[in-house]
Amino acid sequence: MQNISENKQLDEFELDQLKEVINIGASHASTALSQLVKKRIKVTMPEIHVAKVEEMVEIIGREKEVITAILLKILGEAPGSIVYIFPHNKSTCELISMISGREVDIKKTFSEFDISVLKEVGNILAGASLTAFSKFLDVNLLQSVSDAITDMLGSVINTLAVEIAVGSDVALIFRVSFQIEGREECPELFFFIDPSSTSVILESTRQKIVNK
Amino acid sequence: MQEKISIKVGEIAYGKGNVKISTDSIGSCIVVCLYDKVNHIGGMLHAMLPINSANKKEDIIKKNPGEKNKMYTKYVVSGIDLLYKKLLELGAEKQAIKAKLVGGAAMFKSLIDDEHAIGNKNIEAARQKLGELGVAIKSEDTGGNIGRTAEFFIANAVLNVNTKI
Repeated sequence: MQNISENKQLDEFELDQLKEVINIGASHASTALSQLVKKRIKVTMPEIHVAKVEEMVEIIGREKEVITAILLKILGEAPGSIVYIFPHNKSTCELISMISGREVDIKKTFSEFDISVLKEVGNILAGASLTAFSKFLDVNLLQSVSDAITDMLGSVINTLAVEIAVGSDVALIFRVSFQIEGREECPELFFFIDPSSTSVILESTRQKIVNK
Repeated sequence: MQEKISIKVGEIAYGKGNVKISTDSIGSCIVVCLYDKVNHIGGMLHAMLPINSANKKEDIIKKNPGEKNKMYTKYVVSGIDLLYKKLLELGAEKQAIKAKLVGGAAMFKSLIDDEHAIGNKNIEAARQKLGELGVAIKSEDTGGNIGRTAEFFIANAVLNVNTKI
């Protein structure tokens, strides 16, 4: 079995498989978002990073920018985390308005109501992704309740890095950006896969290929 | 002229005289500043976890040969040991070494119960290790649920902690 905490190497083919699996999840999430806001959504191809836990902040960047992060834990046979990063810009304000019907003032910090709208967006998108993952991989996955935090992006990512560091020296990060038609980029979606889950995911994709 | 060193998580930096060490993105990790005010010697450690529980191999030496005054560890206990020894090597006096702590927040409160609050464990580990070494903690800006950035001036042991929320 692949153990990437010992060995940073996953080969091209395996990385491509993981990327494809994430892509399925991300496109389901974007479909859900598109239905939610009744607009077309552009999704980027997942960017994949295999990095030391200490390097996560650098990879994700924008350390000092204050953002709102929605975190959901993936529980079950292939654990991991899903994090949505909402920058405090016009697009996020518009997203909240589109869903809630209330105006959001960009000059103010997000209210509790605004945050709960974002949490709900996180829930719906994660639900869509996980259902897709479960179906495709044929594994049981559950999502935790969502948690929200507004703070510097670097501090948020480092806190996640610490959680990952408990079990592994290496983190597997997938980054996807959503763009609502005609708006700036918003939000970003990160999947952090527990290194122990990579073998589960790769094994079930391998089974799929063999059975075809 | 002031020398400026910026460290990331998992790094240690130290120096003598007019040196400023800064670090960003402090969450549940912990930043330990050790200093000897009399001799103007000090350093900073930005650690992620209390101890190397799995006894994994640590890469404590310089990763980039061009970089001076830096070491690497993710762990609080070994990091404090390394930094403390380095300060003594630079000429600090044992009795004069003091500490300041920053960080150890519990940022995602609803998902992590007390048992799993690594921030808290990091603070405890630092306090205990400093206690063993007989280093007094002069100030603490720890716990809570927010992120911080820190700048430490070795010449006068001034520590600036910044929050954005």
